[in-house]
Amino acid sequence: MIAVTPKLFLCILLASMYSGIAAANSVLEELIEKSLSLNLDGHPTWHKILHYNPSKNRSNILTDSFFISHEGNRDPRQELIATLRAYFPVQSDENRPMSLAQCEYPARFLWLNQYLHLPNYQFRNPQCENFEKWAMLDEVESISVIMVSGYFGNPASTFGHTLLKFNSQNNVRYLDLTFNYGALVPENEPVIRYIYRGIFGGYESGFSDGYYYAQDMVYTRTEFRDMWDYELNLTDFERQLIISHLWEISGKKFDYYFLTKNCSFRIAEVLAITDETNYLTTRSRLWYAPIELFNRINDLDSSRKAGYINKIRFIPSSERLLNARLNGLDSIELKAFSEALVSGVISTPLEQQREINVLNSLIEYYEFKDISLSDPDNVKYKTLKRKALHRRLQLPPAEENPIVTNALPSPRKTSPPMMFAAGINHATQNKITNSANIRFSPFFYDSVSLNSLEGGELVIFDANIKINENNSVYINNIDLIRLRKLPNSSLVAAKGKDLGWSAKLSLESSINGGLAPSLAMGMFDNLSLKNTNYSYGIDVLIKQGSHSTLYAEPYLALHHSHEKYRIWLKLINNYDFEHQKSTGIADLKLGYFFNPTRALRVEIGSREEIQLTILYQLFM
Amino acid sequence: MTMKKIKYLIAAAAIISMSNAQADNREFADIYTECGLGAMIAPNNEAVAAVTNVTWDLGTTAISSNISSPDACQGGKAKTAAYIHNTYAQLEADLAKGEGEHLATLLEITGCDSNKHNEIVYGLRADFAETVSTYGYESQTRFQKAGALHNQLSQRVTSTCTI
Repeated sequence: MIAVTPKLFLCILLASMYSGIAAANSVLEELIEKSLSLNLDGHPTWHKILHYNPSKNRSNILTDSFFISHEGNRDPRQELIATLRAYFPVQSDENRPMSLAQCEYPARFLWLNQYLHLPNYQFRNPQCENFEKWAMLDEVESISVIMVSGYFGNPASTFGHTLLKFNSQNNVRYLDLTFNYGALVPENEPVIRYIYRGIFGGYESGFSDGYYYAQDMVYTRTEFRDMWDYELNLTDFERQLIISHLWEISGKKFDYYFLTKNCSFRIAEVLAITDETNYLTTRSRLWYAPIELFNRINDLDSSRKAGYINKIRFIPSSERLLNARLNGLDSIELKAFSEALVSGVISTPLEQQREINVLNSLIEYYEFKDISLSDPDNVKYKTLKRKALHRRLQLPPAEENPIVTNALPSPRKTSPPMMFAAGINHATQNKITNSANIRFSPFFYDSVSLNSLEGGELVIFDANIKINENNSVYINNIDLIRLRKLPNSSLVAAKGKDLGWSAKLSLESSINGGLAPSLAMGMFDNLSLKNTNYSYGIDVLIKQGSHSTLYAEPYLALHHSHEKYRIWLKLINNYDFEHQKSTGIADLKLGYFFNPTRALRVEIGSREEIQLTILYQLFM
Repeated sequence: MTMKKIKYLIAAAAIISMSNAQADNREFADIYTECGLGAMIAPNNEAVAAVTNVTWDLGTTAISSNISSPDACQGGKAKTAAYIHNTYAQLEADLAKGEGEHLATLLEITGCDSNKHNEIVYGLRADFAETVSTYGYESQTRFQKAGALHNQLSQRVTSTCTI
């Protein structure tokens, strides 16, 4: 028997440690060799995980701490090798905790393990306490992409917004985790710089997480925007990979471009780590509008065998819910509601349930009006709400029936934003002229399009090009921006309804040849009955290059929606201030949809000359 | 007991209750300060930021992300405080009705047993009725109102709740 002296013990210990380290190094080198032989460093998914942009030869992530290798920002191979090295602990000792790299980069190792079978790997590593707590992997059962409707109150929100939500098994959705992506804009940023940097770059941006109730407060209850929740059909692995990847990139900074690298595009990039086709992010358009992501999700749903969408849920704004609530009051309740509006007190004696219904409605109405004021110091509606609350609290609790609203068609049922059209134009003034007509707009939410904003409009750069009988090509007009915002939905018996407004900035054919600027602004009110809006309003036109400069145009209009077609009819009395002359004008537009991407458009107008235009439209 | 002693007792009780109330209010404010909620929610600004595409709390995930950092923010306290502050207007309506999704969420956050929910809602509703009756209620800031509700909730929940 050999006596073990302290020196001998130390030698044995060092030898075993050295052999352990050597063994680990050997395994590491084998893994690196295998990963390179499988070309994992060039794998599209690895590049997506790193947000590597081949055209710029660097990652889109600006935060250095995201990368393990000093060259990781520019070299996916070095980053892969560094990631594998980081997987192994510094010393080989079974009793030491595993490398914390797995806790910091769970998506990387989850994906790599598929190909490399990392030793002792477990996705649910008990050492990764923070990740486990944050991700709630046992509770999250699905992921949703949420489309928030456009908002005219903020230029950056005009085209809508997108966010992600982790849906938990709990019935309480307000505690679901959500992910928002946006630009970091300094306070009090001048408008011009805000627009310039937003479009051409200059802002950093990133993902941040928050509870769903915070998003609900802002979007549905303050900005009164509708939302559509697209619950995705993902495998467990896909769901885990997306959750893990968001853990890796939350708080990391990206560059921001409003047209191309905006919220929708970045969310598309996150979802694309589970889609090898790259369809969600392939950009063949001039810009990636929020609606674009949902059109592509819809396409994937059609092309995938198991589908890509589990279900779509419409989340109405609080304004829409209020309208539905008021429409649900019976005539007695409605009368009492109207009478109580100004005082906050129900003067007519009512049976208890009716009084409860009216008080519940008053409370919601006053809250809506208070938010609409956007003046925290104004206590007018807070005072009225308090009176209603006080009386309601004297009555017993009572369960309410759910408020049911008519769901708006989801974005998947609307047309993509970009429009291209070709057709013919027939004009009759002093003589009959015929011309070919080509029309294009990168963002075309027109009043008779399938994606019309409930009869409203948002159209950007609508260019109308004609080719006349002499084969001369000329620009007839360009609507640089055309907006029509409907008034707040009719609140039954409510006072002080908002008016709608419209605006158009365009370049129009001039009587002197060429194009001249034109500005039209107007206000209107409307009445909605089933699928028809009846409007009356007045526009003021300032036109250069015309017979006169200033016109007023009071009008009556009708907008009718059907599943397959939309009609817009406007009867105008054009008043020329300079010549003090009135002229009657009629404008008729009809859009007929073969499907969301193909439509026939007919326009008949009598402004300056009688014109008939027939166009075949493509939406993409 | 003489009338004088009774008056002293009443005065003492009033002072004690006011002190407790002030201590509870300070606790709500402390939660906001210690847990960094003040940076995310400006107590003096009632309006919610309108520029919703702006990420103004990038990297600040102490409360919103289920991860708590300082010990003082662990558990449900900061989560409850933030929730009440954010959704106060909806909690008002739900308390008045005695039910609603926002109220149900609040009970979920507190971690109270579901068989205690009715009792808590009943008591909280009575407390809230007193609050609404207070002179000047409509002029209070959301921060003040949320603080009062938070304190009432803290007193209503029993040791079975995790708040």
